[in-house]
Amino acid sequence: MTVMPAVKRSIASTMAVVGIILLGALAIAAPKASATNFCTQANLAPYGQGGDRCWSPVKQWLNYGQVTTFQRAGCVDIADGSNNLLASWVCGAAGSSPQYAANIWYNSDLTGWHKAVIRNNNLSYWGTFSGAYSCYNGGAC
Amino acid sequence: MEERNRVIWWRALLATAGCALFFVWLLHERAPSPSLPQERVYSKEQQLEGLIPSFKEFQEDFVIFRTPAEGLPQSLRHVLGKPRFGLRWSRAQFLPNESPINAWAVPGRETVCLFTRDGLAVGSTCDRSNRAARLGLGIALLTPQRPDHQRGGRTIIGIAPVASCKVLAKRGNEVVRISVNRGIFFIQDQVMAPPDRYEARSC
Repeated sequence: MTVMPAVKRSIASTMAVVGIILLGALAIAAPKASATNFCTQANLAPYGQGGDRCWSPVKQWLNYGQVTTFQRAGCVDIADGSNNLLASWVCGAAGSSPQYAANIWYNSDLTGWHKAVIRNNNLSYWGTFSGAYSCYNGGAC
Repeated sequence: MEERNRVIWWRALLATAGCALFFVWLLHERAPSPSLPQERVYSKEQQLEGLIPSFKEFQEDFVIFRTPAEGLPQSLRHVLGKPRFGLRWSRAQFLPNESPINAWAVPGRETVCLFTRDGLAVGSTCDRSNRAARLGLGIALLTPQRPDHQRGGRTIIGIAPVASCKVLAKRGNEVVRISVNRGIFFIQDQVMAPPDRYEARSC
């Protein structure tokens, strides 16, 4: 009977260690391709007018954005926390829904705080657009 | 002693519960996002029956895939991670053009994609291969004027189907005619708006 607590303790410790190792391993092998939607079916004004773009929340590690288009062509870019664009707009054709029209990976300052931004680049017409973003390694953030 | 054992058991229980919660979260994360295209799974029979478009079909539809493939550079593969839609990085074709933007066309499972590298950013667009084989596939990059007064502008690059001489880049009533050279169309101008659609025209 005196051995039992030691055995129990050993089992418990082993379970705890295994749990921690498992958590670590799964965290490393976390799946990719998990995007978070933003500005879903947003109605955006023609380019140059107020409301011609829509921003995701600012997130650390954010390095990916995509735009889904309906009536008009749409563009996507990555910006810093102060809304400064970090790359050229990447633009896809109209009518991509339900697939995305264009996407962008920003491969610098990976630990930085970034936003994804989608824009209606049509100069005359309003249009519907949806965005999605994900963080480094394709994970949710 | 009894109290100590209880504490240890509680810790073990919490660790196990943590693992279980992590698994639930992981399963939730694995669920495909509605905005991401779904990949079709083919049975072995379908594969044998040739229902999957072969690379030969890409070669029949696009001149660009008839030359030896350069493959996608490792630096880009590293950024993009595991290919989706059955994209074959090794079959990527470099699209020579007169801009600092590097571009590649990559065939996949019923899909063809364009990838661009512009400085530190990688851009992409994809379409169904049968649609691209009719209309062509293009991607537009808009570079705003920079504070150092470097001129901004629009770059359009894409691939056109076999036997097409030009691609019409349409935006509302505006049409830009882009000539096709060896299966590639390319233009740089100062219009800061992307085309709504591309239409390849045969010779």
